[in-house]
Amino acid sequence: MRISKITRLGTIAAVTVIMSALTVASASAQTITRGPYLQMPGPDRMTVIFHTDLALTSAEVDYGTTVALGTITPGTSSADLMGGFKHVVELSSLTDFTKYFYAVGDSGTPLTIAGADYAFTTSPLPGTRQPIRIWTFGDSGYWPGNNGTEYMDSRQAYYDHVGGGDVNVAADATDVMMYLGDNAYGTGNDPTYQSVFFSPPELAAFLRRQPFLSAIGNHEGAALDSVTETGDYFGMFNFPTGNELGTNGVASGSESYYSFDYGNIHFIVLDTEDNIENITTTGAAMKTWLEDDLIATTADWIIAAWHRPPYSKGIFHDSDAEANEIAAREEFVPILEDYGVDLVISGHSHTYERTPLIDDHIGLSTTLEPFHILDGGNGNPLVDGSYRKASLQQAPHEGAVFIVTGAAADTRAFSPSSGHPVMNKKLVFVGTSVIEVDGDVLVGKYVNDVGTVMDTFQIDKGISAACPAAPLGTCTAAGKAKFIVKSSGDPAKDQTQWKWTKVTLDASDLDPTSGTDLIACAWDDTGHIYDVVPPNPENLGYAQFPTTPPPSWAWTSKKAGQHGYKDKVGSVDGLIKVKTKAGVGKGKMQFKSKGANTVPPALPLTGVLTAQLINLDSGACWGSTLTEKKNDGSSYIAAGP
Amino acid sequence: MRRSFRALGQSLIATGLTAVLMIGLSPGISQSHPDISEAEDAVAHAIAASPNDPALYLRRATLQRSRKDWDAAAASYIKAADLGADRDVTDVALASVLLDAGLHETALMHADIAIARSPNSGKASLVRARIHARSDRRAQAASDYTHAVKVLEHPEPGVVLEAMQAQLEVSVQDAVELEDAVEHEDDAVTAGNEMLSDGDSPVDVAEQNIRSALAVADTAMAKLGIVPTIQSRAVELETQRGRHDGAVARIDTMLEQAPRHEIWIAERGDALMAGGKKTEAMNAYTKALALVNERPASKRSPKLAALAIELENKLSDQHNNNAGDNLNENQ
Ligand SMILES: [Fe+2]
Repeated sequence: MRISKITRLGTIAAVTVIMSALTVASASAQTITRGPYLQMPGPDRMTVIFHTDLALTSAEVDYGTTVALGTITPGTSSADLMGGFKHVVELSSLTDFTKYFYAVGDSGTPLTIAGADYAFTTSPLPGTRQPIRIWTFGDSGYWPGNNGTEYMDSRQAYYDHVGGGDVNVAADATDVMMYLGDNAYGTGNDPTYQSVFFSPPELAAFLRRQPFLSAIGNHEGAALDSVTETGDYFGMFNFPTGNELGTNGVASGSESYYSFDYGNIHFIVLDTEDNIENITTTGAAMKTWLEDDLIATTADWIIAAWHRPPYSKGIFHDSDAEANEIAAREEFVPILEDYGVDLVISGHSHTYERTPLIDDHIGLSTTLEPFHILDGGNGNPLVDGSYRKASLQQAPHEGAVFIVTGAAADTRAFSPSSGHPVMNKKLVFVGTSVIEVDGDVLVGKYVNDVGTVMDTFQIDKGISAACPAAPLGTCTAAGKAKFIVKSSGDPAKDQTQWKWTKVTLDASDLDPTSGTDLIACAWDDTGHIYDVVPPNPENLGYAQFPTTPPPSWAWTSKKAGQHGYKDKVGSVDGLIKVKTKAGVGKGKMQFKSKGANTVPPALPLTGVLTAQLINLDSGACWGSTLTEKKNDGSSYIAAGP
Repeated sequence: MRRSFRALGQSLIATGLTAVLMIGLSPGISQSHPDISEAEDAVAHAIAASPNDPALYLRRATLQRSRKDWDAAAASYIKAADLGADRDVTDVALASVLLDAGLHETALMHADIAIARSPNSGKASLVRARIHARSDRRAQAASDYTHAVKVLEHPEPGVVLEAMQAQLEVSVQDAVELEDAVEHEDDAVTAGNEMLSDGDSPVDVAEQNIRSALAVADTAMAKLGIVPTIQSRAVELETQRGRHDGAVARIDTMLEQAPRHEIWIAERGDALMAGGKKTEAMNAYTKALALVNERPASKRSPKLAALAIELENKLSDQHNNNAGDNLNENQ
């Protein structure tokens, strides 16, 4: 169902949930006053919750893998806070990663019509590697009475982005939905949630199709009691406290902080309200659990989510000044980085802020040092190259990206206007974040309320982006080599050239079109001095990046065993030409960078130069030690052997 | 000294209000919560439109509490109570706010009222336990904590640890004082640690306190399932009382959740070693070390890297000891 913008605006003010076209008038005339909505999504389970104005004889859900449904599970009912009744139906023994249709009902009488509007898909088994799309945002709350236009537009932009505008197609295209807190404002209590979260038809239409998880925001925090796990938030929602959703972590025993697995991702949700405020007392349990959970997990990816951003300079929320934000950074980030967290998502500031690949930046923004930034590029494989982490599974301190995405419904400025110095991207556009993981590639996107993708970054895992500190010891010797650097002070004239001939190369060794990642490295007596990484068109996330304008570079293969890369403008590290040619003792490799994007090593060089080309996937390498012919402040020429 | 409920009833709301408003405890309205002030503005408008709606005052109190304006929050709770809000809610909330404000005695009055009305309110027992704990009434605190964990539907792990700790802090003197106090009251108060009595030696006291703490842990985990943060503390206490088999059994329940958790496997080795089961202990250390070594050195957290060194030392010490034993036997 696509709801036009005009219709949406007209209907938001109405707080009644019922859309008569979608519900069945039952004999006893019960009206559904909330839901159905979906909770506790696991490989073998789903919880369906709905409210009615009148009591039901026996609340139930009829479900099946076709719209014929066929299996009926009864639920439990209790009085709700609206003077009606809440019905909770727990479906179990479901098949993993399977789409089910369902209808809620009362003693054999359906209250909803089976069809595309009422369906869900179970999670895959933990560890499964398959494409996974996560939709996440914070601070989607808007004031009751305010029609939430921006928020509705943000959501529609996501539906457009992944589902051609259709809410059901979008739900099918969404695997994990993660709210980051402040999902409703005021005290985040039941009546407020009813008016701005459950009731608007465009929100209800998605809630009955897509289960969600959530972190506690400060507004929810005001209407809950963490120590007794009571209050409206815990009444409305259910979160895992153990391994209910499939996890290779350990039980937290708390719905305020918990973990779960979806495919090859381990998600960790933390509480930056009561538990962080009491981190030395009752909150200490959360910190102990976090490390135990991280020791236990073996997932490829670790994504952590919580409300208060560890790094932000939103006008009202400064991570240098607010105690909860500082505590989140000091208490959580070091533990998460010790176990190789890949991505941390939070909200609270009504902004979009995104770091490059960073590590160990635990102090105030004024303590940021270059060594905290492991890759300062923009993470776009078509521009600065994706962020790369050498290990596929968890490994400490290989870097993480931190996102603040708290502008689902509203934006506020930065203070100072330059924002937090660690950020690579800073936006004040309403929108939501989309994270797509496929095997060992993660792509993060920010989609604004008119559907423009305003930020895109990629993390590749299991690939070392860096040259080793010293030359590799067991490389195939290159027959004949030449290495030229020109660095006269005019960037437009900067140049580096590497050339090897008479090398023994197999056709598959250097085939970038089959996903092989290459890096060319050079060292002198002072250590590693230079590298160049040609972009690889076969990285899985490539398709996610905007192709207009298309990249200025392209790989071609005109003959078997030969590969060529050309980029007239040298957009990636000034690289304008790469050539590889297979052959026994007759192979060739050439890399040439020219122009302002070139980053030549500082001249003159010191001592003996070693140049190697490394296949990052196989670890194979080719290279030689060269003899210096010229080495002054502006040019360097060496040849070998 | 415990007050009678009758006396409390007389001093009820007015005392609380006067005490709170006159002392003036709040740090003032914080400027760092613009979204909270927006929410408060909205509530203020709603109150202007419906001045007799107790729910609005409860909402206002919640917002005031979230910015630590205790006296304003207390006044809002009192107003809500006056307008007919659920007293179970307002008394516990008042007790809690007054505790936050440091007004322990007034807080206790409200907690007592709440518990008298709803003896199985876990929240009320928890608040009173904390009031007692901060007032150094350790035996009463232990008792209320035990009751709170028993009646709370979902005792949070952090609260359970707090309740366990409270059991460990009860001294014989505390327990005796409590018994004396109870003799003069009509309502029976059960000490958290029922086993303590005047003639107990420090060792007995420690053992009995640990038993109470373990009972709290097990009561909680009967509801929550095995929660490693709680069970780990229980393991420490089993070790402390010399029940090494108990420690091993508890560690095994954690390993069911995470069979490769190297630190727990190493701790299992420690418990086996302390229990005199050397061979099994060495097997546990060897297994833990093998699992750490499955992670390449670059993939170990500092904690796991330290564990690897510790395990290597333990294994080589033991190897040397065994070699020494063999040497002695041969001489
Ligand atoms: Fe917030």
